[in-house]
Parts: sequence; structure tokens; C-alpha cells
Amino acid sequence: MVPTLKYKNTFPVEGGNFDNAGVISLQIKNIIRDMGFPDDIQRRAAIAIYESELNIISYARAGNINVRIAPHLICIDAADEGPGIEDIDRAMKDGYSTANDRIREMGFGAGMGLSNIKKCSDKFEIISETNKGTHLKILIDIN
Amino acid sequence: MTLISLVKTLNLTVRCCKEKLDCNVTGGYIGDLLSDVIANSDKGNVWITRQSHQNIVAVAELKEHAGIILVRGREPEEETLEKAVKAGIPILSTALPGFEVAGRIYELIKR
Amino acid sequence: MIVVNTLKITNHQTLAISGFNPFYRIKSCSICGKTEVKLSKLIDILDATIMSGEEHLDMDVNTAFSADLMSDVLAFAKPKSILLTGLTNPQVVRTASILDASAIVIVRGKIPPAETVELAKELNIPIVLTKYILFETSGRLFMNGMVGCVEKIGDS
Ligand SMILES: Nc1ncnc2c1ncn2[C@@H]1O[C@H](COP(=O)(O)OP(=O)(O)OP(=O)(O)O)[C@@H](O)[C@H]1O
Ligand SMILES: [Mg+2]
Repeated sequence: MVPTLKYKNTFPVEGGNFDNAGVISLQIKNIIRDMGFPDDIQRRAAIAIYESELNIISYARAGNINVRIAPHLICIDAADEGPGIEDIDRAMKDGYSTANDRIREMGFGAGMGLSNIKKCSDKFEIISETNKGTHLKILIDIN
Repeated sequence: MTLISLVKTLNLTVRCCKEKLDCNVTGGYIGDLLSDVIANSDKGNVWITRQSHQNIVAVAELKEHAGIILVRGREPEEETLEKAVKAGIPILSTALPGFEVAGRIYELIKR
Repeated sequence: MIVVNTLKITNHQTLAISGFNPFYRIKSCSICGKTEVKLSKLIDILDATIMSGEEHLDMDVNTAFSADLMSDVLAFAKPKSILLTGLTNPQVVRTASILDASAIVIVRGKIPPAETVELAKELNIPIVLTKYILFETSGRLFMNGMVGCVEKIGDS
């Protein structure tokens, strides 16, 4: 059975442009708050979206973040066209990062992003193909 | 204050260069951005950071730091340890967050 | 009300746990475990100035997080903690807002760009500026009873 959606939207993300990093995440956080979801859920969704957004900006050419909110579930899909992740296990490790100096000087590249997403989600899946792109599937349960 | 007394008081794990711990610590510097640490830290400082990649050793060597403390459970990468041994820069680690490590060292220095 | 042999400040109770745990030699409330530091007091301690959010001067700030790496902050900082950092870009403000951090302290005398201050005003997050380096900033606050954030997100 398909649950009725309370909200659905897709946001384009431009690779290499850090100016608006975090805007999508904050927008969704406000929407979730206005829907009356608890603080913890707001924060988890916002962190997962922010880290996904930053990875697209940092590593890919372009991507889309699709957010769907049902009464008991938040579903986030972040898909990009880019280099893909060659070794997913290694990328998931805390501290592993290929971020360049420019990214590091802005305060990103701790190598914590993917594991942060995992911690914030109830279900997390990475599908990636080298030289094509990466797709993160994130589910947050509201109960 | 010597590095060894810091290791003992804060119960830090010594990851390399055990024999270099009797050096004097002039102060502390917290930072995760290498360019900041290069520009602003001083000789004899103990550098508190979450960065563990091998470039930290070159920075500590350049700035003549007393040692590096990796905080909040961060472990040095293998290449980092190899370089640190070569450069003679002690690497220490702790589960404590940077704020607390800095606070406790500051307190020791001020006392 | 539980009475311990303590000194009373406002509605919290001070409990000196000196010698009990070497890592937490702080004065804190025996009931809620919190220390009382107002944002205005923090500004005094750091000889700081406030650039946005003046209406929050009376807010309690108890836990602090020192970092220059945003995803470290996202991984470990507790809601309501204050963020001590050398970064000045607008992403710092967005990170703070995403986490429900209560204030940002920018260290080392850095002046944030106008867009960062604008955003902080819009998102209602105080920005405090101090000339001290992050080490001195952390040290001063630690000696005044503030604590670090210990647990990870999702560890509740
Ligand atoms: N969308 C992506 N496309 C290609 N590579 C990626 C993508 N997302 C992550 N990676 C790779 O995985 C590594 C780890 O990513 P993760 O988000 O965990 O850390 P980070 O982005 O390096 O640093 P942080 O997120 O802590 O600022 C990245 O350095 C990069 O090599
Ligand atoms: Mg990332």
C-alpha cells in the first residue's frame, strides 16, 4: 500500500557551487517542523540532507535531491551525475576523505558525512557506479 | 610543563615517539584547518586536532610543535604514523572532545 | 527539592564535584547537571562583542563545541550547544541552524563577511566575536564551568 504523501519536492543541486550549501536542508527542516514532527526528526532529516547536498556539491557535476514526507516516514533520494564512489566501504569509514584543499579550508572534508547520514537514518543505501554517479537512499521512520 | 606530564594527567594514548615526551610545552593550539595552524600556532605548542591525514606531520614539523593530540577517538592513519616517526613528532590520542582537552591543558598551564 | 550541601545560584544548585571525576571539575546543578553561564557572561569571559542576536544575551549556554570541521559538528554537537570556530562562511550559520546550536563564537579576531551576519540575523542565531585563539577561548570557558559535548547524534 502506498502511504499518502504530505509533501513532495525535488531540488536541483549544482556541483562545485558552495554558496547555497545548506539551503535545501534548512527549507526542509522548516517544513518538517511546521508539520509538527519532533526536534530529533527535524535534526536527523536536516543533517542527512545537508551531508548529501554537500557531497554532490563537493564531488559531482550535478544532482537532484528528492524529498517525500508521509505521515510516518521521510524518504530522501540524493542522486548525482559524477565520478561515483569506487570503494563504498572505504568511503563510509570515519575520517576517509578525498576532499581537496579548497573544500577543507571551508570546513568540509572531515570524512564524516556518509557515516553521519547513516547514523541519522533508519535505512540507508548507497548505489554507485564509477564514472556515472551516486544515488543515496535514505529513510527516516517517524515512530 | 612537559609533554609527558600532559600525557599522564590527561591519560593520553601515545601513538608514537615515546622517547620524545620530555620536551617543554609552551601552550596549546586547536585547529582543523592546516593553513590556520601554519599561520597562527607557535613553536612548542601542542596541536589539538581532528585531522589525521599525513599532512598534519609536515605542519607540526614546520611549526616545531611539541606534539599532536588527536581528539574524540580519531586514530592516525598508517602513513601519518610513519611520517611522524621519521619527523620525531609525538602523536597522542584521546576519546575526549577538543574543547575539554584544550580546557584541561589550559587549566594546567594557568595553575 | 533535594538539598545537597551546596551554594544556591538562581534556581539551580551548585555541586562541587572536585576530586570526584578529574574530567569534570566543574560546578553544576545537582538536579539538572547544568552549569549556569549566560551568553552575556560568556561575552565578558571572552572580552567579546556581539554581532547579531543581542536579544539572546540572557540565554543560558552550558555546552560548547570547538571545531573547524562542519561534519564533526554535525556528528557530535548537542542541540543548544555553542559552536566555537575559526570559520566565518555562511555555511557555519546554516550548520548551526540545522543543529539547533544556540550561538556561534568566531575566534581569533576574524570578522565574518556581511552575508554571514545577514544570515545569522535572518536565522536568529547570535554571533559573538573574540580576539582569542580557539585554545584560549575553550580554556576560558572550560574554567568557567562549561562542558564539551560528549555523545554522538543518535546515541540518545
Ligand atoms: N556523491 C559522491 N560522488 C563521488 N564521491 C563521493 C560522493 N560522496 C562521497 N564521495 C566520496 O566518499 C568520501 C567520503 O564522503 P563523506 O561524505 O563521508 O566525507 P567527506 O565528504 O570527505 O567529508 P565531510 O562529509 O565530513 O565533510 C569523499 O571524500 C568522496 O571521496
Ligand atoms: Mg561529505
